[in-house]
Amino acid sequence: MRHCEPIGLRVESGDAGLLRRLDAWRGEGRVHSVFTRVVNVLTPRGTLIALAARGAGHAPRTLAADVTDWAGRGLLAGQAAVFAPGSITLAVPGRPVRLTTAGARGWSAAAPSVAGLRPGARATAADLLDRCNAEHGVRGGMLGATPGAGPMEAAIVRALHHGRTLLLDAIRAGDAGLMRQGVLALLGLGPGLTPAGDDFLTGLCLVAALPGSAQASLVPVVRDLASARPERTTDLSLATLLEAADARARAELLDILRLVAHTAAPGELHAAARALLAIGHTSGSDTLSGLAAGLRLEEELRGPL
Amino acid sequence: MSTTAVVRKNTYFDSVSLMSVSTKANGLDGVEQAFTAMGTEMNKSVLENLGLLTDELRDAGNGDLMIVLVTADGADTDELLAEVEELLHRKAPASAAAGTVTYRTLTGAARGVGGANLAVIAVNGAYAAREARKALLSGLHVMLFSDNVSVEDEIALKQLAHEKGLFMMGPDCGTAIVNNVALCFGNKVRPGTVGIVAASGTGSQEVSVRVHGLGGGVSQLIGTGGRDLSEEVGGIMMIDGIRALAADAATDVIVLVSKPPAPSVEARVLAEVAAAGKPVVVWFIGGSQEAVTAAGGHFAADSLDAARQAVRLAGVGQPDVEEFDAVAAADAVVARLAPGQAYVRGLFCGGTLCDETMYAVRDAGTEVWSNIQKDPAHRLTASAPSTGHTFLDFGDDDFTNGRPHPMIDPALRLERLVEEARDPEVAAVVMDFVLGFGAHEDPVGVTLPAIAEARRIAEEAGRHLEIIGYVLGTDLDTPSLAAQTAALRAAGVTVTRSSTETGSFAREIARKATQA
Repeated sequence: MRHCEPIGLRVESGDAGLLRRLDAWRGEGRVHSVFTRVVNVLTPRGTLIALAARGAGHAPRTLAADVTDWAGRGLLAGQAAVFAPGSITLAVPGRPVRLTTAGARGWSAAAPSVAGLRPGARATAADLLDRCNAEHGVRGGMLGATPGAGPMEAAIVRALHHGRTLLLDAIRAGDAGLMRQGVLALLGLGPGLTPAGDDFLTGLCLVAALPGSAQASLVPVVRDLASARPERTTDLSLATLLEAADARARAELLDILRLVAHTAAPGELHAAARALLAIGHTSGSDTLSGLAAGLRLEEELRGPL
Repeated sequence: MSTTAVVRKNTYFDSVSLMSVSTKANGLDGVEQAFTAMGTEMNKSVLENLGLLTDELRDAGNGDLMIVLVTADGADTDELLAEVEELLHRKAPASAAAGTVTYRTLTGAARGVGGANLAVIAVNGAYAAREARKALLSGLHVMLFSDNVSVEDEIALKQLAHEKGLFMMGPDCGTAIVNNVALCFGNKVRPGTVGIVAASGTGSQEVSVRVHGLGGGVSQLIGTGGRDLSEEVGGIMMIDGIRALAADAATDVIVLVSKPPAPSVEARVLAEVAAAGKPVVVWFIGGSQEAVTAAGGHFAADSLDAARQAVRLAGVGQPDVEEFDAVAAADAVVARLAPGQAYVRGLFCGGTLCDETMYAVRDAGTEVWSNIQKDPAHRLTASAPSTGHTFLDFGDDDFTNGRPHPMIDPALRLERLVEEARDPEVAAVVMDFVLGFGAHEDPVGVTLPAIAEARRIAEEAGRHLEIIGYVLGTDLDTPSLAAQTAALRAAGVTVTRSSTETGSFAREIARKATQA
């Protein structure tokens, strides 16, 4: 029937690692969740990937298609997603959507090293990022409660503060058991799709996963817990955190790290931080809190030499 | 008080939508607390500690959405749950909009919608000029909401539109009313015979709602974008707008709204005023009377004056309103202040509303600081603390970079309100609340918790904090002017009736508090 001809869309760019692996994934996955600008899909191997609209930004496990948004295409969670070499077909009844990857530009999600920085540079960057967050960030998560917050938000903010303190102290002490408790105290904590505790962990874990990090012992703890206790948080958040544990993150985070690595002018770093703060509701602020905490801790653990 | 919970299985909302639903649910009558969150272990543990974890919530999984309502005694929980479900339905993601027709390109939309003759463009500034040009070449008038368009592109677009006999409203044009349809940040006003051409978004909104409030109506409201009357652009759109309204049989009186134009542009615009053949009221904010009067125009000193003259000249409505005794009102406020409370702080969503109040205070000979001050010595950055009399436009680029306009997302302004309340030198805080299409669905409601917090902070410090609120809107807007005003009054806020009245009141408080 004519109306069953798939609508053809092109993947314009995407995570280079994901593009390489796609051809090996054959079989049926399913649509996990549908948003206006992003459709999340589970691959036949159970990996969560994102199909983003043009301009939604580069991120790990993400492909950007030549669409302005996904509205009006009849996409629903649970629909089949058929993976074949060079294409993904979303089985929308009556009008399937086929994305082809030929010619797509690869984007590297790998974070740069900040190992060569002079003493004090990480703390200086962390101070600037914290100031920017305090001035322009959104409260309701790691930055504290919003004015007039109800008891529920206040309780979450208290729990976030407790988890943060517990985890940072554990990393300072190099105590894997306490780190585990700290991660568990934050994982899945917060109302959003990527809970505030997870966003903080993502920023922190990204710094810990950078080459030569003095807090590298956090990474296996996060990986173990994410594998052993996936039910503790949302699928999307877990995927983001696992990528951070592999030193991979979305473009806004990488931009900040690149500027830190090159000791860029404060104005440039400030602008990059503002771009991160624009993500989600409190997600940008919470992730930036984690990143700044990680940089400061790195400075502390490395000492003055 | 009782707790009701709903769990929606495998339901995902982005964080911004979830927060929006939660905020609106908290504002429902009968709801004491509302909370929406994914069903993770940690979130359930927080609910358990608060004694709110029901069996249903206990079974929620990490992919399930939890909705918890703590309701007042006697509240109809079924009804409230239905309202929350409705909020969620409205925020449902893209798949729910399967019946809507969307177009991938502007030219496709122009072809697909028969008879369309106007494009509203709101895209990233980098692509805005390209899209606007496409629309003009397709024969469409353009309202360009986007900013960050170069002045060279603006001139080229406006010249192209002029040559083709089309309107090029913008860039950075946020308000228009075309054939009784309000676009972007417009208000619902009565149709009538007053035509407005404006280089200022909230300035034009203010004039249109005042005309409505005085019993008049609006034929057309044509936005030009804030840079139109600069030397470089030369007032191309304002001149085309004046000519269009002069030729429009439904328009009897024209009102011009702008900051003072560049001198050469002012001369060109006033030449059009002289040739219009209809009464033209000119409100160039902070501008001088002489040139306007010489051109045969009707000079307006402020927004209320502009609306009154327009209504009077149109011969409709009731231009006379009960005068506001700003001196007596300020005396009453100052009598309640503690020693040291000397300054007024203005926290505005609307740039022109901020301007009008700031000019009023400055005209009393008082120093004022602002992020939109022309004088660098009195200019503040978004991150700088307030000093003396401070007036902040939260819609300015420095505050909106990377986040929505404060008429949509009030978070920064709420935080600043609480911050100002902690300052023992603050006598009064002035705020605007802008209603209308495109604005926040309940600008007063979303601010009430911060107002309560600010008042609590001042009271605990033994101070009276005067909070002055002006609601820009009409009885036809949703929510209505009356409902928003009543909610402010119930929260102890002094409500003013116009932007001009707000400026007078702030000026007198500033003058008297500083002297005291």
